[in-house]
Amino acid sequence: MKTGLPFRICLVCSHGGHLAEMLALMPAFEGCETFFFCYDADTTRRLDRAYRVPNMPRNPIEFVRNLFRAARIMRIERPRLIVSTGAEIAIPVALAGKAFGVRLIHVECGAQVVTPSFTGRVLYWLADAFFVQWPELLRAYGPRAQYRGSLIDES
Amino acid sequence: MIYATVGTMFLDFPRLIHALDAIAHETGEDIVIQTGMGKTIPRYCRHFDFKSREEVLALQREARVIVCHAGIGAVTDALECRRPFLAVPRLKRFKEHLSDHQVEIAEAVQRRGWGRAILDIAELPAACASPPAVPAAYRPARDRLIAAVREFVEAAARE
Repeated sequence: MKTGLPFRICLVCSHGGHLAEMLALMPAFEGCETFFFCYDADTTRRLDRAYRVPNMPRNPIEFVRNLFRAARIMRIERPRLIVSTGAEIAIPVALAGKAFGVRLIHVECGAQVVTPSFTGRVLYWLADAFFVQWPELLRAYGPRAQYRGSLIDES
Repeated sequence: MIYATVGTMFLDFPRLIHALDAIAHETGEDIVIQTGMGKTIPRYCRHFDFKSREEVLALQREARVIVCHAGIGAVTDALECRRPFLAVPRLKRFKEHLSDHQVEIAEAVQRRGWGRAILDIAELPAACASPPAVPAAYRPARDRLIAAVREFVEAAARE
């Protein structure tokens, strides 16, 4: 996506529902230049600007490698903003972003109706804006969480 | 035509595919299944592993009923197509997912009148034969969330 607003946004998500939600959010980034940081999968190979990493979420070595990959990408791309829709792939990116002073928005996955996700619990403390998609979930987090509508609608 | 999807999950969902295969065999109705990363392949249904999002949306819009694993991405995309909708949650006890959060989604969908939650796969044939009504058009909550995120993006642009 090419510019109007003069800055770059890093979109971080895994490849299934989290990606679908990010794609649904794209109108919010209009005019900005965006790039993805995501798992390598059939769905993410269809994206045009993306850094793809192996999908080994429970491997601690891979976590550390992702931390370094994310830091390198922060240095090269210099995004002003990171937007996360989860899952755990967002954690190393959020940490690297913090180190570079990059702002972070987390939109908790709509799959979490009453129970917080692991990623959400971590990013709650790192995010500058933290959105949940079900009002039921506000109680489980704290005052930093906001409900401002949902991708899965509630008319 | 019935369109069914098991999503992008890396675990197999044979319970759903076998149930649909039985329906196709019994009724002769045309069923198309997106089988994703799972190993189970139907005998009596048309199937493919992945297609582009646009192709999937086009298939869903043509469908008489959409049968969907209760993953949030697949559910949201399916509801967008406004067809009679059945959500079948993947369950942990059958090793179809790592947790039972899809039950929460399927129940939330049913509570809001967007479709029916199929918690027992034995209910699927009857539900396919007489599916729930097409959910009403919707959008406002989605637009509100996009606007909230946009607000933050614009604030960052001004800094």
